[in-house]
Amino acid sequence: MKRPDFVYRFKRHREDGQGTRFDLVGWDGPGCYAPLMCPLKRSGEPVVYVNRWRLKAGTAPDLRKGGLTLAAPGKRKGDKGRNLSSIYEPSPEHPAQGFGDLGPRVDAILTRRDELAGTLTVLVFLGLGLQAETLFLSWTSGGVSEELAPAPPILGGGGLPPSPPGSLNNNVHLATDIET
Amino acid sequence: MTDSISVFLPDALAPLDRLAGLRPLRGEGCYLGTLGGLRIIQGVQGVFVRGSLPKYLNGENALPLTRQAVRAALGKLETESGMDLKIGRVYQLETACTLPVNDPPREYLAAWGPLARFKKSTHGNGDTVTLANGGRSFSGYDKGEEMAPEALPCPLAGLYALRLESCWKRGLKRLYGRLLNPWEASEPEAYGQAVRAWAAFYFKIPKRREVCLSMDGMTPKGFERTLAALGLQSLGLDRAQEIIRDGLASGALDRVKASRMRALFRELAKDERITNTDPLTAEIDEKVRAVARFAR
Repeated sequence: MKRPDFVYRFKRHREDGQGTRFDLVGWDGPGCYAPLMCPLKRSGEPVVYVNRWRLKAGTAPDLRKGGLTLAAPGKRKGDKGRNLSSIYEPSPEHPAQGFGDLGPRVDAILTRRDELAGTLTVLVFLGLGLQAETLFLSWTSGGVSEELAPAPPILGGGGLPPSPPGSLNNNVHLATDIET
Repeated sequence: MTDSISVFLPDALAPLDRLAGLRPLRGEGCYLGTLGGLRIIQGVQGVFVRGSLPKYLNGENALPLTRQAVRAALGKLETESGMDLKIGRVYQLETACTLPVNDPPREYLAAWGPLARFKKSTHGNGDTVTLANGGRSFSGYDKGEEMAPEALPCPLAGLYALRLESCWKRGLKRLYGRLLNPWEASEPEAYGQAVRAWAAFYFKIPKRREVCLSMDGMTPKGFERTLAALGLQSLGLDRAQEIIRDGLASGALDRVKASRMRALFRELAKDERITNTDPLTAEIDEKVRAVARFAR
């Protein structure tokens, strides 16, 4: 089962269910994933925006475009937000589950929105930007876990490592005091 | 999602010095060789290029290319061969996608029935099903079986993988309205058309459905149809077609009767009042719809 490299959790800023700003509330992963650490200029809080594609008046909707975009705040005061990725939610059977790519097309993301709880979870898969869609299809088949791989056991933390087969079992502290 | 492509480049010269396995063909100045797995033929009137773009770009074709990746492959081909693909004409095109699935692909393929004007053939103990005629073909097969499951690349590794391939062998002009060069075929509009044609063909294939024997509001006529659907289900669409073919061949049936009987099969197999979509088919339907929706 494929596991993400990072899991980022966001919560909608406004509690009335309105607005497009989502605040970062936590993440799992080794270190941090820079493209999703987007601080607001004035307060330094990391946030993202989930916007709907705005159609130009008089133009037909572009069916290839994902319905949503993931955006970061502008770098300087007065700057427009930066687009991070489109979010494609292609399956009505799995509403609010989507995919995209960051980088662009370098790293894949899978997204899960919960409108009632006002949460957004972003799973990041490094280096799989071109396979984001296949990853999404695997996810809907249960082939992708939403949790990180469990950390490998730390040697020495729980006693000595087991002896290799065939070797002498020396895991015995020899008495250092010799009675004479 | 573009897989194999065949392009004719009129009045072009192939880079013979860069081709591997070069050998002469009949006809003066005609050669055959390969470039990164693509077959390149230098003919009298021009160059023929044929092969799988994902294999050329990535070394395998289990993972479908996005439209941008198709363009990257074309760019690579132009750079490596020195040929201008803009003068080319695409005359065969294969659109394909590998879908990760929960069960062995042969169980999904077993639900496929015969399609009018296409010859259905099954190979490898049901691992491959092909519907083909002179102009088009559509195949479903077990990609994991073909590549060996451990060889499947990253997001598919350890999963069952069902590959659906739609090939336009002739009459590509009918799809696009005119002949396109490879760059035009990878433009959003044309690319989307090919992906939608791939999905449309998949949905055209009649598939086995579950018969639901519910007595709520059942009429004698409805009961009769339900029993007929149950009979058809136990017989199988392929076997039922075979019986009609045999009847026609032996002269027991005339063409009109045979045609009416086939129409009855189709009607019973699709009747939504007495049948439900098979869960395995529903799983694939959802995935095909999802892939075709954005045609990336």
